[in-house]
Amino acid sequence: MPSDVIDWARWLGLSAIAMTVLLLLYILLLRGWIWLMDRRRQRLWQHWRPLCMNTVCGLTSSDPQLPLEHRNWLLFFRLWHHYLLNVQGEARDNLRRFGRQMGLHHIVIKILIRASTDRESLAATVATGWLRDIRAWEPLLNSLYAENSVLSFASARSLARIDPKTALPIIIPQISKRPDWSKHLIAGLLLELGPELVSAPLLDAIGNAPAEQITALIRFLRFADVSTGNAVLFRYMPTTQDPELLSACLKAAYSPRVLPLIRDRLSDSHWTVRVEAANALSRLGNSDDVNDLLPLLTDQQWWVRYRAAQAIGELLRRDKDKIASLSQAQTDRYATDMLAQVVAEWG
Amino acid sequence: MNQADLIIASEWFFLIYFVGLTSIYLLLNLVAFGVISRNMSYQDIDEGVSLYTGFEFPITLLAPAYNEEATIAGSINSLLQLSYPEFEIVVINDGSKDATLDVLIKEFSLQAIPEAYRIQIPTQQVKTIYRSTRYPNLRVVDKENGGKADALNAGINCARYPLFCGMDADSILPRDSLFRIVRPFLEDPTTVAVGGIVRIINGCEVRDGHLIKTGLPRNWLALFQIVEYLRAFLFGRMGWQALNAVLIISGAFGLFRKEAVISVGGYRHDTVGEDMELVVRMHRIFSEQRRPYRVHFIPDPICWTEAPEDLRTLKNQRSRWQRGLAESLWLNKSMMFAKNSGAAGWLAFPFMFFFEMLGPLVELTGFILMIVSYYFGLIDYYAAVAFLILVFGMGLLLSGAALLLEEMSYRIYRRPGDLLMLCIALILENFGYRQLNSYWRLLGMLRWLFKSKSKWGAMKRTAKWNSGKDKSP
Repeated sequence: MPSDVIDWARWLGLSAIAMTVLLLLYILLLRGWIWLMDRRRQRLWQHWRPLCMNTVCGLTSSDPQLPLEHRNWLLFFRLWHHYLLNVQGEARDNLRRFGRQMGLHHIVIKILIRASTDRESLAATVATGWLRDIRAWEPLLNSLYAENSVLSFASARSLARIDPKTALPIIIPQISKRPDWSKHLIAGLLLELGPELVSAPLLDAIGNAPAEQITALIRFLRFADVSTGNAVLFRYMPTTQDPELLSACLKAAYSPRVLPLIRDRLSDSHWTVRVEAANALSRLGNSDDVNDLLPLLTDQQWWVRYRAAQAIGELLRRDKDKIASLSQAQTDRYATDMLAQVVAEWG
Repeated sequence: MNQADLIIASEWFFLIYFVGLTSIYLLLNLVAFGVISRNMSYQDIDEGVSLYTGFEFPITLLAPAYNEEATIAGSINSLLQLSYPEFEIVVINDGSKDATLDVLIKEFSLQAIPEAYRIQIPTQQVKTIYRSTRYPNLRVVDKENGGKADALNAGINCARYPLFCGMDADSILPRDSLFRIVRPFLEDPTTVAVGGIVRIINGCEVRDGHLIKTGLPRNWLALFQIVEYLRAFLFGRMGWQALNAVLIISGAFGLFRKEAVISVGGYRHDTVGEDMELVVRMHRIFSEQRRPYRVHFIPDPICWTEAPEDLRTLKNQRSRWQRGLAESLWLNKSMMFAKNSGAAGWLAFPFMFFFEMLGPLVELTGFILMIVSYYFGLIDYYAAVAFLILVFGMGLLLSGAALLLEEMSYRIYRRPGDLLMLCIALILENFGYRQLNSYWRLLGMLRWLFKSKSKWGAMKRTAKWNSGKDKSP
């Protein structure tokens, strides 16, 4: 092998060793720096924590607070955000006021408007929402359409916190266009706002959405009021044959008024729809529905038989004697096995 | 070609091979830096981990058990304390020869139930299904012995929920593990599997199945494995995750979409690396079917497991892992460079095949060849030392980079003394431990080639870290 290749290998190896030594030194320095930062955080939090607690309890401090220093704002935000997440109502409003008293709104609006690090932008996006700072509306609206799903959803949540009535008609249609938004987080947002605010914009969005996007929106119908849910179910269930749409509708059924629509779907050609129909009957039906459920005990699909047996059990109020007599009347082994399993699960 | 030409050709081969391997690792490191940095910036605004919205998918935890009478009760008790809105635990007793089933019956007041068992994936015969009268979400499947894969398949047949979590019965999970690992399923409907970072529990303190305090083990073998795990998980898997090319999800803890797993036939019985084989097969079949899918890997430490502290157990474990890797890749070899197989088929699979699977063979051959050539005067002292410096230097650099990632992200080991120990371990593991590991992995390859019979991977456990009441049955 040529000697220059050997030299090259040796120097590469030595450079790697030197870089490792530098890396280890950097790690040790980083640890030291983190330790110092952590001490600063602890010191500041020790000061801010009682203030936050007093604010939550509605107590005002007699001492005027020094305004927040720009370099400490992220540390303050982390503590303040934590408290906000764990309280509701008046305590939350008090914390919002406390944030303003500390001057947080002046800092975060600047960060939101000028280009900043991802970490600061995200925290500022969330902070403006908590502070209900209307000056942040335009920048938040811009980042609502950002490619980064975390930033766009954080913007949606902040817009909804600033002015839910104006924000929801903008945000809800985005739900079906942003499959990257976590359903769990969307649900959390809609739950936080409540059915009064959610129902009308959700109904509008479903009405105006293209056919392929309706199912994604109907999945959130459980966060609207019952009459909105019923209106949507009466509109789509009698006409559609799409199993995903039907399953979503059946999951959103929360009123006995839609029982005829549910019963119609017990014999749907798609097994996932039959499963959801049995589940919905279990929630909303009465003992008269047991006869409609009995044929499902011999269904080809295990899940249909299982959910039908569970629904029968619930509709008969877990009466073991009644189940036993029903089981004796069955000629199909699958039906009796499933009823026996469901009774055994009750313990 | 004369002897000297042969030596020069082999020197070039080993040099190119080694530089290629290191370059890929360094690239993965860079990708992992990006992913982890972005992930850390999201932590300030985190709102969702413990929110109960009804949109969390219910999860079935599958805990296969074979001769685990000493630890099974404690493990299941800790699983029962997990925080998640809706989950069930299915323990599969795979024909244990000890008192595993008796311990379960006694500890959890089990009662046989007439369950209408569905055979979606064929398994060895299921004898009885039990249900706990104290915990409605706990069932135990007692079946004929068929191996871990067979036990997991029986568990899948019994699972009620759309997601299942394959795990080792003795894994220690933080209480919010399920909330963390389920997130990719909520954010991406094409997700079929999610893995997370597995950490080593040796040296930590565990009480009643929960991690109380982190710390480093005194045993050097366990310490070296901590550095190894940092490398494997922090940049190995995080790097591939960005390319949708994660081929390994640890059997200790991984979450899967049940329907997707059933559609590819469940776990295979005839491999010792059933966890990796399943993920590779999912990649192969879904890419052939052009089904949109994604295998995610999250950087959160979601599972803690015990590392072997003696050479014999470690040798068996590493040899099994290598054999599992070889089997998984060989069984799915048609995926390599296949049309539509994406980064998984064009990058990750060839990397695994040429560098991870054949790596021990090349590495050890290289070392031996160098020693022999030097002995016979075929290469000079200067060249031999240059290559050794290169090999050790790059090894050190990669381990150092992994430690930096750890420091930037989770800093599990908080004490300054622990950090120093990790730095020392990072240097020392290059002298002897790595070479020994390559030898064990080579043995695994040979076992695969000669098709020796596979069985349950019994591991000698010390459970020194467990200070709780569940230490013994």
